[in-house]
Amino acid sequence: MDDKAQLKFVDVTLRSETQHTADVAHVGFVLAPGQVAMVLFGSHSRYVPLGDLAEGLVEPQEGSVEYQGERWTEMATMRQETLRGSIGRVFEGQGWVSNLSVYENVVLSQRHHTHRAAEDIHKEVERLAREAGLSAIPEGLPDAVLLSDLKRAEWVRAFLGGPRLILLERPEQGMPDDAVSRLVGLVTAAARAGAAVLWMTTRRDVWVDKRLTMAQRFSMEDGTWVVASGG
Amino acid sequence: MSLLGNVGVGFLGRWRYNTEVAAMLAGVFQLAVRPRFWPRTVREQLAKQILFSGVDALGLVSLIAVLAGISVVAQAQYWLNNFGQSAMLGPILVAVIIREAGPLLVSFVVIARSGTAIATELASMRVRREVDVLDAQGVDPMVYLVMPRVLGLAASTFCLTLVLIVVSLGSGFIFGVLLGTAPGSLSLFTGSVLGAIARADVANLLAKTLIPGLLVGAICTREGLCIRGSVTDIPRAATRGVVRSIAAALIVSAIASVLTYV
Repeated sequence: MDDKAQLKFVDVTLRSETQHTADVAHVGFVLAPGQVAMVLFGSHSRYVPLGDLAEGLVEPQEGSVEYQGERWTEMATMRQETLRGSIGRVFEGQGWVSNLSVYENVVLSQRHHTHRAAEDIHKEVERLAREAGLSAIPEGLPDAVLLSDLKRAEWVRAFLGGPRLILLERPEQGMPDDAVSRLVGLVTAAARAGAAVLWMTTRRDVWVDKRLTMAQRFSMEDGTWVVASGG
Repeated sequence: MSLLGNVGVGFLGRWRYNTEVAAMLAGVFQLAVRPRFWPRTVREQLAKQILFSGVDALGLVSLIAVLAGISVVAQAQYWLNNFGQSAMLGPILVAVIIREAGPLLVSFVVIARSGTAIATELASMRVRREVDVLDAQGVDPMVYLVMPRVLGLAASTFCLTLVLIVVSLGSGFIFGVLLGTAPGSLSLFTGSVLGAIARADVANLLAKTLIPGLLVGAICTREGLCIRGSVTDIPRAATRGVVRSIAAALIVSAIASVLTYV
């Protein structure tokens, strides 16, 4: 399985340098294409930087993170940027560029990294928006849009362009149950298409969601990594 | 620390800062000559920057040009006519408007309008962690934020200076006609000015517009992106950007003037 690993954490430890970020200790798991991993955080008072580690944005003090078989720390900057273009992400907290419209934000990565025609991207955005429960991507700047619509638009951005890895940092935060069902549908479809999905949550009911039967399940309490099932 | 030590620390700090700005400009040039760093998103950023710094500033620059035309060109015509030195009109206008005042006035406009905006915008993006959001999507801030702003400011400064020169000379001539101090026909006036422009003036104009434009862009993006992450740092970044940009524009102007006359 290791040869096909989309994302691999090998005994990763990161001691936080700020009080807003939690420590991460001895995290290890492998995500192959099409696999989903659900991670339950016991507390949501501090940010757990698994997403940043998975994208190579922060370097672990111990252990290593590999994406598509390559260690982030051994890649050239341009290679890192290209690979990050193949990762979709719902960010914990602020995830928008405030001087771009929501739509411009949603399509930014696709327009930057690919030569896809604007109409082609737009059609996919419309389809994903409908699946996320939006009639269309909200107009205007992110600061002027309802938080629930903004969250759904962020889902669209994360799933746009067939990403190889999808990082979901508490994507269900503040959303009703029917919206979470839509998100589960998006995750299932993306996994079926070959994407690896890492879904981080603080909600136990989401973590144990029976619709995601194929998911590996992990939990993390005070920085300690626990394999619950499938790891 | 001794007085000499303080002087040394200040000098080293200034040297380090200048090195950073120079490295930023070198990075911009390295990226700009490679087509792969010009995806459509970056081209759009460049177009937006030219629109904001160049096109949107046309009104203000034109107003300044008209006022400069009235005060400088018309007065020059009046006094030179009085002293019977009308033949000197071209060289004097080239020296005052094209070599000195024009590029400097436009640099100040660009710093006031765009330099502050860039430093504030990028500092705000830094505080809100929006730069990290770009990074996480594989969008290099140097390519997407810095390069188009630096090049956009340089292009805008050059074009706005050309506009200022043309409008100020034109308005000065018209005002001179209205006052009855114009030295003859429009073709005579135009010929007098064009005839006084030497090759060194063209080089001087390029140096005094493109270099300050590049420096203002590099300084203000650097100030915006290098803040530590507190909201109170945003206005400080803007102030530092403006002060250092004005100093850079004045120094470049002085050096270019000296080189022109040497």
